[in-house]
Amino acid sequence: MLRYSARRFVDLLVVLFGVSVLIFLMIRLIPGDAVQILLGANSEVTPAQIQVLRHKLGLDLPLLAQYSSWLGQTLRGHLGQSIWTGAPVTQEIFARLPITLELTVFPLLLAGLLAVPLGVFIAATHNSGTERLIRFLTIAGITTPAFWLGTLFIYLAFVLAPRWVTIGYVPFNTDPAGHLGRMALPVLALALPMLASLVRILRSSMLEVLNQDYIRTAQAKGLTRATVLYRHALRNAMVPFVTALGLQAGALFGGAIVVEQVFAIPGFGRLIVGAINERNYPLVQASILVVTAGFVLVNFIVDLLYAAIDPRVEYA
Amino acid sequence: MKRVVLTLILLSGAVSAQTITKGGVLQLAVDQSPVGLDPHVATAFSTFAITQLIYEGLMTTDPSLKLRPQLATKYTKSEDGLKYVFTLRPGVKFQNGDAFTSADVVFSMDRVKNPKTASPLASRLSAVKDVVATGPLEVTFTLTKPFAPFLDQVASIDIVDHTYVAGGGDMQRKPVGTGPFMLKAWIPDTAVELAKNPKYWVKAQPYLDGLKYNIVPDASTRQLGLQSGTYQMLPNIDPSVATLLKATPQVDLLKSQDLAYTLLGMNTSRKPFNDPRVREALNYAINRPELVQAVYFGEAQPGGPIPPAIRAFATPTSGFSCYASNASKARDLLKQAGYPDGVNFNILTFSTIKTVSDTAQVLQAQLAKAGFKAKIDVQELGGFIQNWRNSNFDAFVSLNGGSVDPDGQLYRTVVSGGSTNVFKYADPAVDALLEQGRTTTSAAQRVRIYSKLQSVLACKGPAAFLAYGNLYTAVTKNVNGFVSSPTRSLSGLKTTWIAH
Repeated sequence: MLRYSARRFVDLLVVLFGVSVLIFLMIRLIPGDAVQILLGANSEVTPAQIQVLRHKLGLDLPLLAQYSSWLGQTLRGHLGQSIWTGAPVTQEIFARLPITLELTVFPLLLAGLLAVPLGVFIAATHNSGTERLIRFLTIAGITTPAFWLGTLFIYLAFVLAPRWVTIGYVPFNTDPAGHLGRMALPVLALALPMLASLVRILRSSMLEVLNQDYIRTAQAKGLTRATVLYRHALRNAMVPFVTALGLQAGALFGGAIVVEQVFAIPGFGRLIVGAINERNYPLVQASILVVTAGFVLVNFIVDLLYAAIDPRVEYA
Repeated sequence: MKRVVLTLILLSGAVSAQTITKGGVLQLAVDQSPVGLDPHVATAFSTFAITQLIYEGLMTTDPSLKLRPQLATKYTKSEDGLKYVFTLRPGVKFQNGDAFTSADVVFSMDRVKNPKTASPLASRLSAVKDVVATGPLEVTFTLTKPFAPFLDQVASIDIVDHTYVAGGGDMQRKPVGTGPFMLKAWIPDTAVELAKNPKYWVKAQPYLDGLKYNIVPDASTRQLGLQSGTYQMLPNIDPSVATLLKATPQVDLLKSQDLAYTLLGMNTSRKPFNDPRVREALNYAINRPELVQAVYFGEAQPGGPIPPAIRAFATPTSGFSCYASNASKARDLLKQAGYPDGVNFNILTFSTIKTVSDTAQVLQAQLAKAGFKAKIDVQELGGFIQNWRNSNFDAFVSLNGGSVDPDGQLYRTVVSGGSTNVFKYADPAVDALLEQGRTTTSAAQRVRIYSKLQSVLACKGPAAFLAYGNLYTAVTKNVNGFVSSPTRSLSGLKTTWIAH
């Protein structure tokens, strides 16, 4: 087990290195230049001034020199400074990461925990009316974009409960009620489409499993319906479900950008999008590394979960 | 009897005037974070909206575009226009307690001029030979040649505290000015909080205890926030949002005319726009009133090279023959220029400002009727800026910030080699007029010169000037005392108050 983990850790380092090179090149290959954007399209700036700023930011060095300098600094733990604010990049990222983590963990928990009983129930139900209704709802849920739901929720809240402040962000320590009030709707907006998708996945894998011989054996043995569904069928149907859960987590970890925009929440996703638009190279590079590490970590946990669910899976 | 009448008059006055209630924090919603708070370095509008409440210049432009004294109480100008002496206001203190003196003015001007600062405002001081403190409250500027826009350009440069900056103060994050509000907190991506400056030199002002600029990127969220009262002011909103809010009972719309304008710029160094007849034909092909209806819902004015808001200088559009839309005339001109079958060209534009991208689309349709076949290339802002700066386009559609003075409006945009002359336009006659315009000391002469310039540039110039939008600021009904300005200035917030 330890050897397996160590190997996965080495894999993580290789992935991080590859991604760092890729993102370093990509962000510089997009047209547009950090300094030009900083100074704007309609200002009284002269080309000489642009040069001065470029030199100050080290952007006039050849690419390889810029990369090796960045790599050297990163390995020493200095991820650089934001081109726009001058603040250390780690400070910018870690100020916002907890907020996005809230927007990742809570929707996942909500969707994941609700999807299990719902998915099992739908798979086990033979009522075609309910089936059709649930199928319709899940498709509606999957195709509805989270940001549209978000704007809809804000509007509904404004109409039905005008005193409820649903926009913006306050830390939990400062104002617990205000914090929860503002996080409730974005979490819901993110959870619903995920719930729909997870229910569908669980339902189809449950249906496959329920057709198996061993399920008939279990029923013949006289076990209760609940035991058959949850102890035997569900466990076998979990693998695709857990995979989907892991992928959703990875996607959310990069920041539910559009939901953050709609609700004016200062999250990690907004930070990345802003940094890309500004061509804020150090911030983009560091952020992508963090997202990559997060994604790889989630995948690792998912793989460990497989081993927990399915005793046939073993890692050397 | 007289006494009774007098008392009655005074009483009625007191009853009808609203009493100003001081206090409270005004919640604004803006779409972007400031780039930094150093007014000499960060000139983006998102920064300007905040720094203009923290800092002040020697003079200020009021909503009717007249210059008024601010940190300078008066000035004298020498006969030859080469020397300006400003008398500074006594008893003014910076927000950290330092006294405001002539040393601070000299330091601020030097800082802007210093190439190491890389200040975008440096070109405003190009005609200044030196700035000297000729007394503790007196500063003398000596110019190399008469410069008519001097007062507008220099008077608005914000004055910083020389002791603070020279001592290593962090101008980008911790500003120190003489203005009515000071920085309380800057929470990244969330809000910028300003608090009332208790030492402000106007004793009664500001009325508010503070301002909070909430950063809310999504337009519909800002609008809903205003309607629900979460926010109390949305400065400088889109015409489409203004139209939506017109019907809302709890919201007031404050109107003023924008100095900024949409334009279709042309690359005059390559075909087809190297020929002035083609440029004139393009102007004939555009139907500006229709554009105003389609893009601005009527909330704009067609205009020429100088904003209609600068009434003293702007020629009415009826004075430009090519503004009377005429597709057949356009076709004739194209034929004369050697394009009997019309022309094909690219329009470069970007999508982050709705009026700009809408304008490009409407223009494409209008121009097609006259033989101008355009292909629209919508780029991401960073890419657009790069191509715009490198003149990598046949034509582009964009929004340009306007200026209070005609020289500021036109000079660097159309003079040969001008820093924003991306059209690569070079006309010695225009250059000569521009130089005269900035060095003439007679106001009447300037009006004549700019009138001539407008008639040259409006139809055959490198850009088709399109429309100047109506600028709206939306406030909730309990917000009083704010007057909006064509300069987009929010300094009216010092006399704003919230009714309870």
